[in-house]
Amino acid sequence: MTIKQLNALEQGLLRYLSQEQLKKIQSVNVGIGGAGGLGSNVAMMLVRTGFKQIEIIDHDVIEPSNLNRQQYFADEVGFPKVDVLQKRLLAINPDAQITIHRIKWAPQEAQKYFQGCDFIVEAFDQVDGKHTFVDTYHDKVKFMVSGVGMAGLTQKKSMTLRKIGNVYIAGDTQTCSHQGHPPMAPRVTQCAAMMAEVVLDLTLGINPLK
Amino acid sequence: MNAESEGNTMNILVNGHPKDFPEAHNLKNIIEQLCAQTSRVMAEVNGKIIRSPQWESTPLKDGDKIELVSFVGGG
Repeated sequence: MTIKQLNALEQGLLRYLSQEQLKKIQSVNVGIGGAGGLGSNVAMMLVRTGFKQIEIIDHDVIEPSNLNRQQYFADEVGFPKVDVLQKRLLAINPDAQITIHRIKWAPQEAQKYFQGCDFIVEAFDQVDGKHTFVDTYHDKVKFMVSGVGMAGLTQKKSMTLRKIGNVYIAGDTQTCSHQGHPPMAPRVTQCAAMMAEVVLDLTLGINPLK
Repeated sequence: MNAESEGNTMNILVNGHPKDFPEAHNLKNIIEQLCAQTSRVMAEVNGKIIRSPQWESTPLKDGDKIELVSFVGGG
């Protein structure tokens, strides 16, 4: 870190973190399944926090209905999410290694992705995909983080952090966004922030459950 | 069904709450009793995740701790 010129983000981070902490953060590989409301927000927070080795899978293009909570802009509608997110993350840290796969994740091909990841983040939207993703990877990685239940507008439930085996689950674990509970930015971002914090805590040896 | 009517019971801590079940119940029986959509459930017994194909062959005993999470959509 002392040999190489620090970029602006790293210079800024060292105002808040020790060199040792930043080095630890930068050495971690994080895989993220999904680049939507959870995934795009988790990725942005992690890169801002100093994480620089991130692998992201998503097959979607940006739609108008994504703009209420995802890290995309109106003039990006129609573009692949992973392409835009990669660009956005590199704008925060030009030295980050952001690996993207524009594919629809399927368990049959799971071994192609997230090799060598220290953490895998489940950030999908559809319930079956979320469950299958966690079920597939939880015994192939040190820790997983999943977001379950972050929708709601008129009826809201408190979000908590739970640990099942080596999987940390953030969210209210009840409110399904497809049952009349819209996924709105404040709660989706809150859940994503809890997920990103778990990754940061575990990286620095802090117990996320306190 | 009343657990007492089936003979001996065991007390299991489910998501932090104590519950009585018939002693013969395995993990699958308990999940089916408690969860509406079992295909979306992730289960942990005493700190270890048990995948659904193994639920039926996972016996339980008094004092065991189970954590159950039912996935919901949204992200």
